[in-house]
Amino acid sequence: MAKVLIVDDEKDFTETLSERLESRGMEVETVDNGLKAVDKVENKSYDAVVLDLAMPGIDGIETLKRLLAKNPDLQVILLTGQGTVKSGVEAIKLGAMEFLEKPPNLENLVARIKDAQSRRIMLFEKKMQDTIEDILKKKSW
Amino acid sequence: MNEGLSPQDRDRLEQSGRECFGRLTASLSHELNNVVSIIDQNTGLMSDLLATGDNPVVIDRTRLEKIVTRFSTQAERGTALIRLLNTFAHSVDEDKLAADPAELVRLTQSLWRRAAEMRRVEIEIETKAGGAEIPVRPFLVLWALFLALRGALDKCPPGQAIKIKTEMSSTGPRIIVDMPLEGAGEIAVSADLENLMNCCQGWLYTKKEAGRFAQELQFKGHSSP
Repeated sequence: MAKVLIVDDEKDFTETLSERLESRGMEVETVDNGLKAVDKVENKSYDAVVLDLAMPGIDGIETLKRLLAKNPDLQVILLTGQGTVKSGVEAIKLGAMEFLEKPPNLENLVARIKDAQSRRIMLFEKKMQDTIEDILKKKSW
Repeated sequence: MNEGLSPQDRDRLEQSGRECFGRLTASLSHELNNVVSIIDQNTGLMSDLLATGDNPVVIDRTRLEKIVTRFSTQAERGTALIRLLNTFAHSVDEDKLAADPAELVRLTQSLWRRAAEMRRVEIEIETKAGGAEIPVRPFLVLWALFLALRGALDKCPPGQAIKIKTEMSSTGPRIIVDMPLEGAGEIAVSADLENLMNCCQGWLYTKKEAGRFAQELQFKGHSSP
């Protein structure tokens, strides 16, 4: 079951989107601002964070920077308004996994979340392998 | 409207007018996009519920009421935004040569609501000059307020309020954009705003006192009958 965090200040949007993702077998949590999102990822791991670009307080780009500073392996899918492709490209450069135009096509979003989950598993396995190789190197003579 | 300006100042002023139109319509269209996104997701949710395969379809009443409420809330919100966008678009009409400062300050508050919210700043208004008229196209006053507010919003500390007041002076209507100075740093007054006020045959005054900074837009005008 993919664990997803949705970050958006539009409550009606997050409520509906989470209901739809849950009906597709995902575990979803929502927060309405970037600071709360940073708090959440500090205490829990998620397969994907779906992050809105335009939010009060710290915006999506700043939130992305803070999230990745806490956890560089975090898979972030940014939702951008029309005409803000430039910000989407900036987000990819900063380390976001993907950006989707709002309103997002749900099946497309579900596919991206599944990609994020696979990437996360791959990254975890790679880290485990690196750790094992490191131990073997240190213990070998 | 721009006689007496150097070609560079005129170009820069015209660019700021386009920027005013662009930034404010972009802000409204982003908000409309949020409305459409919510409607889109709720339409999708209805389709999900219909696709359960049950015949007849059984939907929990509370759940259905919630969806209906979201549709009606967003329809109302969208209608208000479209009305606002339309009023703003018509502020450049050639046949409108009188601007009501109180009405334009209310319009400005609505146009800037989302931008202010993004920076966690309030825009409060106090409109006392009811019935006053400024003999210019309404867009020019909205543009002047855009130039005054743009700088103020960038510098206003979060959690604080920018106040926009209208008053009637002996020479005509005056609009004051007033903000707290504490923690705001240095505030540069827009040269474009000074030029624009000259073009409107008005004046720009600035005042720093008691921890506040005010930009006073003084127009020539009169009280309407």
